[in-house]
Amino acid sequence: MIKQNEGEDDDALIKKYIATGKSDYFEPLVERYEKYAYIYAFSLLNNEFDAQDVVAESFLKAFTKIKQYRLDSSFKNWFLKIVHNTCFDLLRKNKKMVYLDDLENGESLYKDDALCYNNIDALDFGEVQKSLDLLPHELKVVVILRYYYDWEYKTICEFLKIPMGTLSSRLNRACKKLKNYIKEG
Amino acid sequence: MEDLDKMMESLGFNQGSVKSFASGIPFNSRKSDIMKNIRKAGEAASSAKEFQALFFIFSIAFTVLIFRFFVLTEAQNTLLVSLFTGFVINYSEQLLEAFKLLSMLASGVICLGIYALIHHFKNEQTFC
Repeated sequence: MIKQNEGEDDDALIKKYIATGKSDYFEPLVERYEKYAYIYAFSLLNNEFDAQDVVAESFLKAFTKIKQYRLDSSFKNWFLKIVHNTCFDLLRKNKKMVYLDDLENGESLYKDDALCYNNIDALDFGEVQKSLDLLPHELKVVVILRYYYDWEYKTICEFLKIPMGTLSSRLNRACKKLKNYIKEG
Repeated sequence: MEDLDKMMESLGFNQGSVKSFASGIPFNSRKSDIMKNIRKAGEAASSAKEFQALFFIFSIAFTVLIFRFFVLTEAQNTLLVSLFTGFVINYSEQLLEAFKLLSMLASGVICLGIYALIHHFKNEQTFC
C-alpha cells in the first residue's frame, strides 16, 4: 500500500489519513521530509542527536495536530514551521538561545561602508559555516532559509511572521556580523 | 535586497558551496522509529475514540433506564419508552449541548449563591 502512495501529493495522503485514520499514509511524508527537516534542525542546533530528536518530535506533533493543517497550503512549510518552533523550544529549554539585543535592533546597517561586497574576497564556505554558528539564532534562521533553502523573501516573511523591513534588517545585520567574525578569524 | 544577495554570495553563500555543505551534513534516517511513534500515537487516539463511543452508548442506556424505572413506573407503556429512546438517540448531540448549557447556568447560580452567602456572613459578623 505504501508503494502505491509514493507518487501521491502530500494533501492527497493527508486527506486519506483523515478519512481512514490509518497512520501508514504518513510514511511517504516521513520519507520525503525527514532529511529536509533534519538539515534545518542541524543547521540551527549544531548537534546531530538534538536535530534527530527534534525531527522525530516534530513528526509526532504534525501527526497529532494534522487537523490544524489547512489543505491546499504547503505541508512542507507547515511542517518546517513545527520543526522551527520545536528547535527554538529546545534552545530556550537548554538555555542555548542567543538573542538579538535591543541596542542592535535600532542600528542602521545600510549606511555601513564595511558592507560593500566589493571589499570581500572569496572565502572558504567551511569558515563561513563556523562563523554562522556564532550568530544569534534569529539572524541564523533568516540566513538558513534564504541561502540554504533558497526561499523567496516573501515566503520567509510569511513563515517567520515578520515584515519585509525586519527581514532585510536581519539579513543585513547577519551579513555584517559574519564579515566581522571572519575578519577576527 | 539584490545587493545583499551579492554580498552574501561573496561571503561564500553561493549555490555550489551551500549544496555541498547540505550534502555533507551527517544524516542517519530514523524513519522506522518515527513511524513506530506515530503508529503508537494513532493507536492511543483510536482506542480513546472507542472508549468515548462506549461511554456515549452507556450514557444513553442509563438515561433510558432512569426514565423507564422512575418516570414511567406506573404507566407500563413500552411504546412511550421506545419513543423516548428514539428521541434520545436522535437528538443526543442537541441534548448534550443543552445539558452543557444547563450545567453552566447551574455553576453560575452556585457561584452567585456562594458570593451572596459570603457577603451575608461578612455583614453578620460586622453587626454582631
